[in-house]
This record gives sequence, structure tokens and C-alpha cells, in this order.
Amino acid sequence: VSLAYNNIEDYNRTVDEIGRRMAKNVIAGLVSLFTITDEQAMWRVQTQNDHQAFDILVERWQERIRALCIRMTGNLHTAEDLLQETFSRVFEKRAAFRGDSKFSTWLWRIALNLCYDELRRQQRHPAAHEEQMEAVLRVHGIDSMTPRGHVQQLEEAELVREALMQLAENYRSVLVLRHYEGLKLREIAQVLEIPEGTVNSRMAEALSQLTRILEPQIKSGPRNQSRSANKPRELFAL
Amino acid sequence: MKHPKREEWVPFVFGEAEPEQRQQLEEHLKQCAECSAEVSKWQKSLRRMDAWQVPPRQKVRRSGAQPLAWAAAAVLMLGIGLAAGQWSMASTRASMRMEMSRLESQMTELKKQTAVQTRTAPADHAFAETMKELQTTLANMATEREEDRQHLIAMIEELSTKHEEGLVSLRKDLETVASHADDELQAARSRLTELSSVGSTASRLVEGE
Repeated sequence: VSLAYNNIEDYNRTVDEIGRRMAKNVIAGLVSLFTITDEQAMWRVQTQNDHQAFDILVERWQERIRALCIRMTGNLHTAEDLLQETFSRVFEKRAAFRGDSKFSTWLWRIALNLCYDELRRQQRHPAAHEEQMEAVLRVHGIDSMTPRGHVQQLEEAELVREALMQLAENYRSVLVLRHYEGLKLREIAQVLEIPEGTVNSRMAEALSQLTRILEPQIKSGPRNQSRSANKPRELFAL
Repeated sequence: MKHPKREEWVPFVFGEAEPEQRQQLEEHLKQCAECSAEVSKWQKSLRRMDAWQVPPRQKVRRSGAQPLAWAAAAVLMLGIGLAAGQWSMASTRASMRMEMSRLESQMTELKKQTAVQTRTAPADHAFAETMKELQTTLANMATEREEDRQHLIAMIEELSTKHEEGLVSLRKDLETVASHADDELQAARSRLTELSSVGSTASRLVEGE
């Protein structure tokens, strides 16, 4: 009987686990019953000018679009403006969305094109761009209360940001979409409307360039070369 | 050695290569220090990219009873939002926020409801019931098995007792039969003696005549 009890306890645990998973699935199922897909929401926006559906799309996507704009422009304020502009453009161009593609693909494309426009504008007017660079440090959330260890981490973040900003925008975009936003290579090809092979070759070039830019900094340390020149390389190897 | 093209490493590095291709590239990596070094450099750069995290959107911070003030503001905005009724097309930032907070509270409510529903859902109840029944059945089975054993032992004892009794009675019967046979033997012997004496008397009478 005691042997049977041990088995029962194991069985109990298994049953509990299955129960929990089932409960999770049930919740997910129930939630999905009450939520609409992006494409359904967009269809409502297209056909009924449904502002509530539009707000759902804004709420779902604003963080990711904001992150994309920050990573593409390297500037927090510019990214906020681009975020607003992206959703204005989505509403403006709502009739142009075709139901045969994913809403997200279309949205990424609009946001990315706006980022490209902004970057080109900055190249034409570098003075205005310099003024905006004051907001750069805030991209990493640095203030006087930030602990020192965190500051070092933020220095590394700044190195990465600077390295990415040195890449041409078509290389930066594939890296940002894949690494930070988690899009598959195939999805990136759809967003950029280029063959997947081109995405791969752009990515290879992007990674090679990024590695070249970051590599010397691994050897010499961030920012202050004299401070870290004597330290062994392993200290900086990540 | 023929090296794979640079772009062939891209799906590999991001974990999107087809199994066959991945296997080939892995094999190549084992043999080729050059490609191995290049790929690990790429991977290192990708790991370093993680250092750049985007800060969340800044919220207005005040001291003291911040959550309370927030809740009061949310309730106020919710009230205004409900009273306002239809949403205006302009989607100004304020109205968007109001709608968002309303949606958030609805979502929270919905989540609560679903959580409650799920907690009392038949699935959990059924599991508990099944477990209880299973345990009861097991206990019953154990008791029944014990009872069966006792029954069996009793039956065996009874049988052996009966067997012994049978043996005893058989012996008694045999002894009775034996004693009866003995008696009959004795009777026959006496009858024979009797007969022989009668016979000898008769022959003496015949000789006397």
C-alpha cells in the first residue's frame, strides 16, 4: 500500500501539472475569445473608422515601434515624434492596407520608412541634429542617481549605440529588426520587400562591420584608452 | 578547404538554418578554425548588443501617496471618459490615455473573472474528485484484499479440520469393521469347533453301533 501511495503522489504531481497547463490554455483561449487580431482591428479601422480598434492597435504596438525608432535614430525625442507620426500615417493610409498581408509587416515598413526619412533629413541639416543629441544620454536613462556599476553597463550600452549609428541604415535596420525586435529573416525580407538572400548578405555585412567597430574597443576598453590600456584583454572579453 | 559563403552563416547564427544545412555548417566549424573564429566574433557582437536596452516611457513621478493619487486620477479619468461617451476622432494624447486606462481596467477585470472562472472550473474540481475517489478505491481494495485473505485462511483451516475429522471417522470405521470381522472370525471358529465336536460325537456313535 505504501508503494502504491508513492506512486499516487507522483501521479498527483503530474495531474497537478497537467491541470495547471490546462488552466493556462483555458485562460489563453478565453482571452483570445475576447480579443481581436491586428488584422481584424485594422479591418474595422478601414471599414468603420473604428477609433476603439485603432486605439487597440496603438496600445499593442507603440512600445515596439518606439523601440525600433530609438534604435534606428539613437534619439529618444526623435523616436517619440516618429512613433506619433507612424500611427498618424497608419490612420491616414488605412485604405492602402491589404488584408492579404500581416498588419505588423505593414506597420514595421511604415515606421522604418519614416526613420529613413528622418535620418536623411538629419544628414541634410546636421545643426538641428546636433541640438537633438542632448537627448542621447537619456536614451540609456542616466541621471545623477544612477549607481556606478550601472553607469559602466550604460557606457557599454553607449558604445553599442554609437557602433550601430555608424552602420549604414540598411545594415542597421536588418540587425535591429532581427536582434532587438525578434523578426525572422523571412519576415524582414517581407518588411523591406527584398529577397531573403539579400537580407542575409546585408546581415553578414552588418555583423562584420559591427564586429570591426566594437573589436578595438574590447582591446582598449570603453571611452578612456589610457585608463584601461594596461588591463588584460580578458577583462573586457564578453 | 572550401568555406561556406559569409551570408550562409547568417541563418545559422540566428538559429534559423534548416537542420541539414545546420549540420553541414557545424561539421565545417569543427574543422575550420578560421570560420569558427569569425562566427564566434559575430556571436560576441550580438551578445554585446544586449547592453543597449531601451528605457520605458517616462512617467510623471511625485512623492508620497503616488499610487492613491494615481488610482484617484484613473477613477476620475474613467468617470470623465464614460460621461464623455463617444470618442472624438482627433485622438488627442489625453483621450488616448483615458481610453487606454479604461481598456486596462477592463482587461484586469476580465482577467480576474477568467481567473475566478478557471479556479472554479470543472477541470480542477474533476481532478480533485478523481483523486479522492482513487484514494478511496485504493483503500477499499486493500481492505477487501485483507478480508479475502482472512476468508481463505478460514476456509483452509476448515478444510483441514474436516479432513482430520474424516480421517478419524475413517479410522473408527475401519476399527469397527476390524472388530466386527474379529467377532465374526471368533464366531466362525467356535462354530467350527462346535461342528467338529458334533462330528466326532457322531463318528463315535457310528463306531459304537
